[in-house]
Amino acid sequence: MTIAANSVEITQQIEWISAEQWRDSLASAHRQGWVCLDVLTAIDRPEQREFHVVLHANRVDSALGQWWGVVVPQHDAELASLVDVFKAAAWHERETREMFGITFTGNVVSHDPTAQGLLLSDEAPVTPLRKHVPLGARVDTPWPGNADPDPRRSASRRRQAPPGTRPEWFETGDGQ
Amino acid sequence: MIEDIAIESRGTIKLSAPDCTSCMLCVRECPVWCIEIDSHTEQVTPEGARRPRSVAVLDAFTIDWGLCMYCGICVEVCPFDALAWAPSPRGGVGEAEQLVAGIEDLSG
Ligand code: SF4
Ligand code: SF4
Repeated sequence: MTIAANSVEITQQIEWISAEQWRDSLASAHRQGWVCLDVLTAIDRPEQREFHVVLHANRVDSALGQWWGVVVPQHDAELASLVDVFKAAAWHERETREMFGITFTGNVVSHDPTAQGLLLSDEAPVTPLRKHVPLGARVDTPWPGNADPDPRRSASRRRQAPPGTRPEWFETGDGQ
Repeated sequence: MIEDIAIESRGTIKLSAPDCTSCMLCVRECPVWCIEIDSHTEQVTPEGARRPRSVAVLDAFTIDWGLCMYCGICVEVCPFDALAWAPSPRGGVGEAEQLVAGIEDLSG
């Protein structure tokens, strides 16, 4: 198989599953040969007030991989754990809980308040992959795009937010 | 203008300083904030012209290769084709500061 460096196409589709069906559908996929859990993580969708939890699994009898996804509302960020389907889910769910604040029902560690720090230190911000949580380096570093060679142009220029930032990071207050 | 090169050849990015108008587009679009430009404007009166016009003069242009992720957005947004991919990758350096390349280095 040859893949041109500039033309990798993401052709894989995500198979969306309801939160109620999440565990059973993945158990069924596992029985059908999708036995190797590759990754499980989440995407914060603050505008929709939801998370997308996504999972990628591979087969061992072929080179195929497949994505599954589920929408989890942020006001009730809880999802059935897959630890009894994929053992490896224990780690990924714990990481996803730490980074996004999603609880995985049935993942023992995910419920254990003493097992907080898997990857983050005590000083790290809570749920750092939530988009409202400022990225420290981006807030502290002056953006090179603020410079302008022509002061007149600078005055009339429409202010553009620095790439990779969100306006709420720069609001005064606690930023939450 | 720098000669067109196949996009697979993402060795390094070259700057053609005479083509750069300090428009700041690349600086503002770079997702990792690794391009910095220092420039000023000067009044020049071309021969035969009645009034002087202001031109941007590029004082410094740096790319921090320690931050750059070779996405190519700067090359794509430059309206004056002052940035282009070049096939040969950069050599290694001994100190992190040496990853910050200036006009001379980027033009070579
Ligand atoms: S290639 Fe991407 S990361 Fe590198 S300088 Fe250009 S815009 Fe920035
Ligand atoms: S986009 Fe092109 S012309 Fe504008 S500042 Fe960057 S290199 Fe110069």
